[in-house]
Amino acid sequence: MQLLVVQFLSGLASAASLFLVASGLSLIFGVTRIVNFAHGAFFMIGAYLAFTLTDEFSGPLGFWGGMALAAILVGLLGGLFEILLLRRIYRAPELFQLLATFGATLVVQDLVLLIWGPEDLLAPRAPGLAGAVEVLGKRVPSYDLFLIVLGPVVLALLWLLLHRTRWGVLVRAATQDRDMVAALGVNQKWLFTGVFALGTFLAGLGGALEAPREAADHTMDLRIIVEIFVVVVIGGLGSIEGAFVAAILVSLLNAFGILILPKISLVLVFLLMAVVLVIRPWGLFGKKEGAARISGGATASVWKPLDRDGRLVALIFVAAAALAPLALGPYGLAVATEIAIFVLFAASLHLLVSVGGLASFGHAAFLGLGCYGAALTVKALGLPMLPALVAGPVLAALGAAVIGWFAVSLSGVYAAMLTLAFAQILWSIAFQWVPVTGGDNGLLGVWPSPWAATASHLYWLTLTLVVVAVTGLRAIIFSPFGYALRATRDSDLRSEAIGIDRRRVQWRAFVIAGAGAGLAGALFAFLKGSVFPDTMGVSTSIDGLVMVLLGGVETVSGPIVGAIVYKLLSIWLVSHTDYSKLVLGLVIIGLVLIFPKGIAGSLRLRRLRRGVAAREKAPA
Amino acid sequence: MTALLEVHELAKAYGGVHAVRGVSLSVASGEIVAFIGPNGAGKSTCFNMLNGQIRPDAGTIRLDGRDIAGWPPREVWRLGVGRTFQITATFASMSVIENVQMVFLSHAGRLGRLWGLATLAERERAEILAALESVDAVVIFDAPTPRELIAALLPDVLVKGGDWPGDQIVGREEVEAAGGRVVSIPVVPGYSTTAILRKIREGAPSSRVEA
Repeated sequence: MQLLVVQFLSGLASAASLFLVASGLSLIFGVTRIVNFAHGAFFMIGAYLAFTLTDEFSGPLGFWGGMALAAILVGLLGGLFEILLLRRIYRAPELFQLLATFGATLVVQDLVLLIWGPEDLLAPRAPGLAGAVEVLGKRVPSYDLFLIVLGPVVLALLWLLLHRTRWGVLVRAATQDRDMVAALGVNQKWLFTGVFALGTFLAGLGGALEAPREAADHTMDLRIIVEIFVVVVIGGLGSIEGAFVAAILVSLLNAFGILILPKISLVLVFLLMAVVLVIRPWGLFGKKEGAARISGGATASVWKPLDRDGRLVALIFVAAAALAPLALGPYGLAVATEIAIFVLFAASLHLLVSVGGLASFGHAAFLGLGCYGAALTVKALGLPMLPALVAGPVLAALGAAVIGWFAVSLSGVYAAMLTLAFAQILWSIAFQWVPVTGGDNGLLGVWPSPWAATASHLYWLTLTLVVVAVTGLRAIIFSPFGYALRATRDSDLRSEAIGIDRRRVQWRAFVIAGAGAGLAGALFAFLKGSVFPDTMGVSTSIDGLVMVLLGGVETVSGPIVGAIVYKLLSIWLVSHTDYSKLVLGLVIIGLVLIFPKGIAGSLRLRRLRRGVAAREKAPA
Repeated sequence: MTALLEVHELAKAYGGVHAVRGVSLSVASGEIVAFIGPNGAGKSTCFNMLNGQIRPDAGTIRLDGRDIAGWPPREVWRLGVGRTFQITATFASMSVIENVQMVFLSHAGRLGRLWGLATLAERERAEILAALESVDAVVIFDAPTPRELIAALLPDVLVKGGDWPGDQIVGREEVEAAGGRVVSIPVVPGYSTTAILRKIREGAPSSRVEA
């Protein structure tokens, strides 16, 4: 009983910080429609700044002043980030801003390492709240009690700000209908900047308040980002009250899950999120998103299969790739194999994201299922490589059939979040189902059959399968089914009015994309000789999205270019600099600014412009 | 002559606002019918209920004797009901020909195919066109429709007029000149969006509108 009460209070204390960070994310999304992946980074900066500032200034004034200053600095940084970067890319395709925020996350991770070093840092205890209070014979830190009170206070202040000030009314109006607010003559730029600054301020405050409780470390950004996604989705995107209730739910579930169901503790939160999304697709307090206004042809150009020149270029490219073993050593070939695998991974995600308009934040789930499917076929069933290469995609396709069935009944960010939830559920299972998956230790010794064991043979096998699969995916894009899928993306209204069953079409796309990623996963297992849960972690999913977005969503060849560029760059950077994330992040941000339509997309646009210019110059 | 489309006491309300109430009409095969009424009278809402975009609260929609009220648009389309949208809805990443092709492919039940190119043979297209002509189709135009288009139309058509009176594009006379009939959609007294707009314009004391 006592333990339960203590656990309950500790859960409530964690909820306070979670609520602060999540409400910031929710506000930002509500108004700007940006999924701010960098929110965890701002949270982390808040924690580190709080450590330094409270260390610098002593005494109660120094401590609380330092906390406030840390949060304010983070808010200013957020505002600056919005002005310098996000403002330039609001007109870019949906999700493209995600790239920029992801780049910022990478930069911050290395900057934190550079400035504060790799050690875990614990801020000093709060003056006056350093002790503990006895509750039912157990000692509860008074700082925890302070946090429990602070949560509702911040909620009340935010409520007053949003309901009792002119600015707050604008923010709430913009959350419901941005275009209408703009049409009423409100300067959106400063509204967006203000909301972004407020949101990141809350993230920084959340980080600062956690600093005396839990040591700051440089992976805390990724940990919190997944958790606040969950909170925001359960509560309802754009709803502050929802974030508050959901933060308490999630924190209590975490606190009690470890006590009651330790074996599946990691799964619980994501199960809750999946259940909420299936029953109440817009979260507990969310409202159904108003019909999006037609944005004047999101995709302006017509998709065409490769013409003769294009096919020739592709053929030359594949032939050159096939000759790679003549030039590369074992290491180079391993890198080339990995790149080929990720080309397939990105191409399969492209079918969902670009062709189907279905954002997926959990595509790594299918890669992981392919990995485990292949590895278990070899390890548990004792079968050779070929059956394993079939089992991987089959398992992934089955997983995609289940996940896709739920995801297609939602739309937009909610569907993306549901895929994230499912991917995290699978990740948790792989992590905690030790007897089968080996847990954190993974499955080792998944080696290819003797005929494919050398680096060049494995490379050729991979290249062949990848070329066949990617060609197949392209053929599907231009098949009647591919047109139907694109039709549901282009205009839901029109496709429904000509008899297309959107859910069915999109569900099939999920299965196909899942199988493609599964094949990539199976090959990946044999390349590495081992399988670990992190293959299906969030960062792999985000990697996939980055590849697709870098290449350009509005193109057919984008994912191939994107995967090659991104993979080459990240592998090269890791072996050439200690601060690969910093450079990679800056490169991504740079690419976003230079190529706001993706690499392949911008190149094509440039070619089109040149064509128009040439035609205009030609004598009539 | 039996009615191809028969609508009886159609109604739709949003919260306390009655967008459409008590609309009844019947359209015979080969007839042109126009809906006219002031802004907010519920013309588009009527159309959206006819093709399944919106589920009516009450009333029946009989197409060829079958009650299709509440059917999803794709099922209604299968019975031969086509429509335009007030804000054009097209497939932006496809050419004009491909946009049209999509309708044919869907009609031929071909859109599930994973292989081959998304085109139809000339012969198939001719067959489908012939099939379409024999179907008693209803085409709904949810926008003021130019006179030439009305005159050129062969199948049964519902045309939406703009504001009434004094509409520039389609008025009562033009529809009647083209051999059509006009159905006037009245504003639901005290409840319609027009009434609410008027209240706001007159300076309703608070944002609360009679619900």
